[in-house]
Amino acid sequence: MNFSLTEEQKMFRDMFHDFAQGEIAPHAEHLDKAEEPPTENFKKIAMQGLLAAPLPEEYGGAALDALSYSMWLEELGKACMTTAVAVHVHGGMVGMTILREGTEAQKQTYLPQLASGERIGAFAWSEPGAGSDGGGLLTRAVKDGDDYLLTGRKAWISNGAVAGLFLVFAKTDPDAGAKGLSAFLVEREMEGVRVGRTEPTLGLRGLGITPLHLDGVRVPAANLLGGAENEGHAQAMRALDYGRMSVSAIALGAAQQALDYGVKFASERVQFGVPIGQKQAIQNYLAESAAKIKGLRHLVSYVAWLVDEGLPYTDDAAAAKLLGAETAMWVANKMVQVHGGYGYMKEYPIERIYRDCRALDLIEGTGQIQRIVLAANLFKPYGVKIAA
Amino acid sequence: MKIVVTIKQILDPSGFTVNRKREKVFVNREEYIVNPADLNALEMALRVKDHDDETEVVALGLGPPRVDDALREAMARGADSAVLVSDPALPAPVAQAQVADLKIDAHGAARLMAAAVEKIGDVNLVICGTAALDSGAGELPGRLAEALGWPVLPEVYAIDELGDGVVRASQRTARLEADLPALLTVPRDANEPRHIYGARAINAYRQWQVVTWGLDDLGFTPDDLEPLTTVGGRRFPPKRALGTRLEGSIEEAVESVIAQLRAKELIEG
Amino acid sequence: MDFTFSKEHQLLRRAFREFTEQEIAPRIDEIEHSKSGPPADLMEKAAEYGIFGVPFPQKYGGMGAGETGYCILMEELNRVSPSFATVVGAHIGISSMAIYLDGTEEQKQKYLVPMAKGEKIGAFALTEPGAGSDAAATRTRAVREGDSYILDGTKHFITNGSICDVAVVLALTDPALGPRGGMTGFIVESQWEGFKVSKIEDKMGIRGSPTCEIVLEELRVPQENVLGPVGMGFVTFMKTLDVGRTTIGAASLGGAQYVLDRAIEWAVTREAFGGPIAHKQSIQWMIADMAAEIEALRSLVYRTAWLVDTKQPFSREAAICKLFGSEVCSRVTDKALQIHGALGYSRHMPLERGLRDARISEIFEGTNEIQRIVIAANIFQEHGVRIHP
Repeated sequence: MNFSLTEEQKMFRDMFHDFAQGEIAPHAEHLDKAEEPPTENFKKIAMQGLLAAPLPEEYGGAALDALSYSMWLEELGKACMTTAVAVHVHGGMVGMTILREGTEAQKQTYLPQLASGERIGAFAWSEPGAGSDGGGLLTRAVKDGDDYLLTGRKAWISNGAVAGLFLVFAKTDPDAGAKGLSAFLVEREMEGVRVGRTEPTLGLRGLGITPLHLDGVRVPAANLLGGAENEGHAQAMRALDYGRMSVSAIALGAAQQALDYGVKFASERVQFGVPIGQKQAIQNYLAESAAKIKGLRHLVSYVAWLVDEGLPYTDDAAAAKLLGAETAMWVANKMVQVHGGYGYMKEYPIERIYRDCRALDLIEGTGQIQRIVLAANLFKPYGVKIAA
Repeated sequence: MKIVVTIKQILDPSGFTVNRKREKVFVNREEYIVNPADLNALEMALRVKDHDDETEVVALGLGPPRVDDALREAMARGADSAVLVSDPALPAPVAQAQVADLKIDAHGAARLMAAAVEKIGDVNLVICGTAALDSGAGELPGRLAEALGWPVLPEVYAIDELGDGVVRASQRTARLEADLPALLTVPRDANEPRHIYGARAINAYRQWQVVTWGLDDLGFTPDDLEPLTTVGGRRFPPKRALGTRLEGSIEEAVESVIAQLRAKELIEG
Repeated sequence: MDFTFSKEHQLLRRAFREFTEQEIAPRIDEIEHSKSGPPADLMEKAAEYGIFGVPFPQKYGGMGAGETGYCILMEELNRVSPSFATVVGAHIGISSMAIYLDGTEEQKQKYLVPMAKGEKIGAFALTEPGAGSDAAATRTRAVREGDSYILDGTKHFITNGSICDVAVVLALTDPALGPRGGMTGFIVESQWEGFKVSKIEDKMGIRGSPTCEIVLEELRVPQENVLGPVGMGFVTFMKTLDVGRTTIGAASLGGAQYVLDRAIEWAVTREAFGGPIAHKQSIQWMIADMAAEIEALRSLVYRTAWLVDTKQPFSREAAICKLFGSEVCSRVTDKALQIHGALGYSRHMPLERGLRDARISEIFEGTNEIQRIVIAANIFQEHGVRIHP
């Protein structure tokens, strides 16, 4: 057991912190109010070489280990959750999935474009009629000569508004349920691709969440991820495992930031003749938040360690995502309460953090799905298979 | 001007489900509402009252004691007073027509209500909803006018003039005129009924009374009400075909409509 | 024990349901995007139907429906529009109520009657930048000058501040005495010179209700507009908040019931993994827990309203209504949003607004932390122990 960071990781952490606070945090309020995608932030982050940070250097990445990557997302989560989630979808859900599953040609074509920000990536899984349920996806991919024709409607696509590359999941074998899914690399400029209007949401208002219409889009067979049909579900599940680790790191950052704001406010706000931090009710909110965050921090690091060690981590990532989302929502909620009336006003960032945090229990699998993943894993040794 | 508005209490349709397969109506919640068209009739009377303080609007109902609630609601919406014709000797609640067999028919009901209108006295105008939502027969207004010996102006959308012994009213496509006293019927799309006034809702129960008259008060015995018609049986109305829902964008939906109309040769080109 | 609503209250509920669904619901977007309160014609229509005077006796232009009727109103309004409910609640529950509780007969005729009829809109100006939960820290000054008082100070987070005609204001008349004998309530008209709206807040939810900062600058208030005895203002204001708390529980009840109904509809129609999600126990548990909390809240709210209407002590119960109600509404709305999945996060659905709107109830009219202090103080008082916050 060794909980210390390497010198390199310490250096990274400080750099991530300074960069996120200096360059990203000042724009968080504007992105929320204007509901604009973080285009400028993408550019700045790309300049730092951190847009697809865990990719190997040969593809333009920073070759970050998972622990460093989770620290990067944590710092982004502190600075601006919209940007953090956008970067995680782009580099983690799309970039890392191509690295993990793609053919060499696919990696060489798309990874440098993602790393440089030339194309922003989006993960096109959900549909109006199916979110958690992969077997319920209706988008079809039909083989036509050397190509596939993709037709269907996707919904809730983060980064959709600005994405240049969509990782689209479609049924190649409609009778095989979730096992009949395949993943395709679809470029925005391909004919028949239409991005719908941005969905107005409670929080993460700059995330550019859109529907995606595919109207007989002709996709070359070379863009079938990994070159193998009907592997989509397994590919997506591996992507989600990694994504859940990422979201838990963002949640950690958000919770920590919320607590920091709460402590600052409680030390300054005077009521009944003393700073409200002197009141036990407030102390309890802060102390319980700190305890939850400390627990979460160790779990997030542990999941990252599992990833770096190449060990299985599906259920640990699900647990981290579940606890992360619930911790961030709980802490943000209590910190609004610490702020009292001020917490409800847009002048104070806690208002935005509270709304942003609510998304954490919905993205990359709802809390209910994480529970199913965990339960299924618990029963595995007994040979009991859990149907969702 | 004294105006009587007839108020029928019906079973709230949102409280029951219709099972076509078993040809049965299941009452999930037994709740009652005022027949919607009667609210339009009331609204027409209240609009007369809005312009003339002297006008008195009387709500008149027929049925079991619970019809009291419907009449108090009419007062809460603006009626000045209310009369309920109710008698334990009336064998079956009229308002339950759709679930129980009628024992008095519209002829009997109309004669009782005519007697009530005469007992109220000096009535210039009776306004009825065109038809009730439950039976949908629309039989009562005509029979009531006949029992009173008054002219009837059906399907009136607005009263244009009222006074000097004459009423002038507009139907959708024609204007009618009749000597007073007269009876009007009002369809459901004639106007937008006003809401219940809260203070009147409170007063309707705490301060105001509904006058109740039995058969004796109106000079009837149960034998006088032998029905002219009896119900021979019931069946479900034929099922209406549901429309189809068009998926996709507006443009796609419009194109699909055009294609279908072409296919049916309803449009050319 | 009789748990049925009286016939008149049943009819009243239908009256409010009809009004909110036909008049308010179609105009939610307009209300939410308005910076100057609900549209004028809607306010006029609400006035015509007596909405602004529900609990007050008819001799003061009210409806005479009591606290029970007022709770029914808040429940029904909050189902459809918490913004509108907040405007009405601030008007009836705290500003008009303060005048009703402690005003002179002349003040009632002059102010309460037009307020109950909705001809004048009220605001309740207690909170200050430095005095939120700690209302005793009020700094606004009132200095006697002949037959008048001159008021100076800043009030903030004042609901209806920019649309009010009348505001009840708490100010220090004797700083040496503070809340015990040194604070006095005043009835102030917004047209008077020296009453200035300096800021309208941008906030998370109830965005259709204006929340304002008000600056009082040498505002001259005639002596006859002193509300209650001089020096007793703190008591008037605290007593008024007591009455208002029950109705926040009622509003929360309406909001919670509404989102539960939406969640049930969704659970029976949305299909995943081969059937409606209503068949999943995770969903069933959430629905059952929501229903259980709502049912407990309903009993609590209307029992407390009954205490108020029958003139029994109700402080503790009212604080419990506010505390429990606001937290139930937030929890239930959160679950309803979760049941809707990502769709719940969309602003096209009412859950998202519900969550933002519900959140304020845990904060305003005394944060829930203050309610806990009120409840604890009330309990310990019975045992001879006095609690100071």
